[in-house]
Amino acid sequence: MLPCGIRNVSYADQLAIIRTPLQWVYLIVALVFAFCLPLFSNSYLMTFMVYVGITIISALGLMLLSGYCGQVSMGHAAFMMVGAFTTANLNAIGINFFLALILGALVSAGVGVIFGLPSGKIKDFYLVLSTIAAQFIISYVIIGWFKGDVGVHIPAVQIGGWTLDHAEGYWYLVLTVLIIMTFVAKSITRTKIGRAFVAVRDNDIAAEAMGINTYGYKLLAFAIGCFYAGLAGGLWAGFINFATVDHYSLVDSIWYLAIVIVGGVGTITGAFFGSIFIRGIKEISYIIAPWIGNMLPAGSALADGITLSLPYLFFGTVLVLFIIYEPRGLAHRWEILKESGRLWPWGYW
Amino acid sequence: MIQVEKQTKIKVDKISLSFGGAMVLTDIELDIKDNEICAIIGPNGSGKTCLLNCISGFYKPQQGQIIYKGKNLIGLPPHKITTMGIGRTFQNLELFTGLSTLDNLRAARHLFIKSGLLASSIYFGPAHHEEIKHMRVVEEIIDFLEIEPIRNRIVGDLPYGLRKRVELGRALALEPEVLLVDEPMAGMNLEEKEDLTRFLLDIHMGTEFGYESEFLNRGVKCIVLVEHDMGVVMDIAERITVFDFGRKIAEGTPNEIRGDERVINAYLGEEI
Repeated sequence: MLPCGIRNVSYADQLAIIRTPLQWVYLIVALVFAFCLPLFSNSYLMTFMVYVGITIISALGLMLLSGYCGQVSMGHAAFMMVGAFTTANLNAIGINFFLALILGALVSAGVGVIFGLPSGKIKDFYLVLSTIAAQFIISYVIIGWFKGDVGVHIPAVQIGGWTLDHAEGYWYLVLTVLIIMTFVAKSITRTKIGRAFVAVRDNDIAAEAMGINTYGYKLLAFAIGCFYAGLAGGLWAGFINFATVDHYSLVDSIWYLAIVIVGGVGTITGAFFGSIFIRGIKEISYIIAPWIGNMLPAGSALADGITLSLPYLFFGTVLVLFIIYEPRGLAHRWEILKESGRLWPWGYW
Repeated sequence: MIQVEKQTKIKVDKISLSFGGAMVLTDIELDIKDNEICAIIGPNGSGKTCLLNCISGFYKPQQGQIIYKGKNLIGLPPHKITTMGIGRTFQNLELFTGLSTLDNLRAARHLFIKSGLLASSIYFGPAHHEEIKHMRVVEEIIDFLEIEPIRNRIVGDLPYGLRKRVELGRALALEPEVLLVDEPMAGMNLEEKEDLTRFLLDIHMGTEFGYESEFLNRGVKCIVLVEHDMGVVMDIAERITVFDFGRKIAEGTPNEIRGDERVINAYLGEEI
């Protein structure tokens, strides 16, 4: 629904995302706020924001792959691992971090295409299983041949004279990459490629009949999705100055899939909402778990276990509730909210 | 009546198709000619849709060949065949249900949009101009099929009759030279049938509205219609082919078919 008083008078209008001066103001204020965030927040919040930013970049990739193209991947964290270790290993042999980062993303895209090859023959549940295989195969290969067993150290990232060894500095890097990658993802989804992805997701037979090479587009989706994952993995490793397989486990892959579902399948905004929501839940459960633990009998197994199990308990409950009550995710709620905001206070009574 | 030259557009040459032990099509020979609406009729399970699936590449016949533009279509993937100018609709509606009417039609313009990954990623510039260009074409198709009120509606929420029309529009957006229409009248009421028949004739003959998209003015000259509704078939088809149990049992003009004994037997049964 368009804002009140706005009419489409040309096809360019119809295609535009930002339609009113006020929307430009919102966008600019949001960007300025994001860039100024380090000025008025502590390093705890900034560390959280950096993680959220990196999660969003990765989730955007999974959104394109699973949300738009319908190729559900349960190996997303493994593709981040490929990016992280490629970046770290290349950086260790003296290649500039940023070049290594891009190469890492490209390698991840290539690996993604290899693990996307079965999608030509199998789909749905069977493809999910084959991507779980990707998770384990990649872990073993990295542990065996790419120093995954001990991990790889990355020195603090430097841009010009700046050393990004603190969350505030790194936030600017993550934010810049995030803005660029969001723009790219949005652009892809509103052009030929994005429509082909959705066509493959909604009805692959009809997609073929419309002249869309479904297998080619599935592989392209794997390439793009894993490029995003690789980029996020490299950024993650750069931030904690270390690449280790522990940070990219099967459980993390499931978290990413949950982000897509909670955020809203097939929406770019969904990657943002989902990432913030799921990361928030994790963070909150870490804060309140000790508090709950203190209320339980000291020294009991329950009190010890609560810190570890609470995030999963939260996570499982939230996921089930979303699937039952809002399968279209937070992005859909956001659309409803925006529309009712546009009608208010003169809506239909 | 102006006599137009009727060249063979698609030559189906002795194709046979079987699934395991079941013969679905046996030695089918058929000339699909330009400048005419060719109908294929027959009882349920006689292999009409199978033939369409063979032409559009979804099934691969074990024997014979299908010649179009000097090439054998058998073995080509469906999207290649669409690229060569054969568009189709489906019997059981295969729409992109999560997209709006507009986006369903835009998805079908896939073939004509040239911008690649890089141009799409940047969006502003060539990709944007192309989007606008194809938006215009799609809007003209929407105008042509009179589906303006539902242009922004999600197709999954639309009633059956309208979905059929959206699917026809989507096939039209491919600018096909040959249009394969699979049971467009199934499940429609009388009024909807009349509408759809009129649209099919308009698509065949072209319009005089002077659209910017030349293909709408020109029309799709070669239409293959698979249909059960005899009234519609007898009225609009110029040539009818009748299938029964995977074999062609008759071919001719509507008048010839109407009186053909084998056809009557196939439909009504015969005394033993």
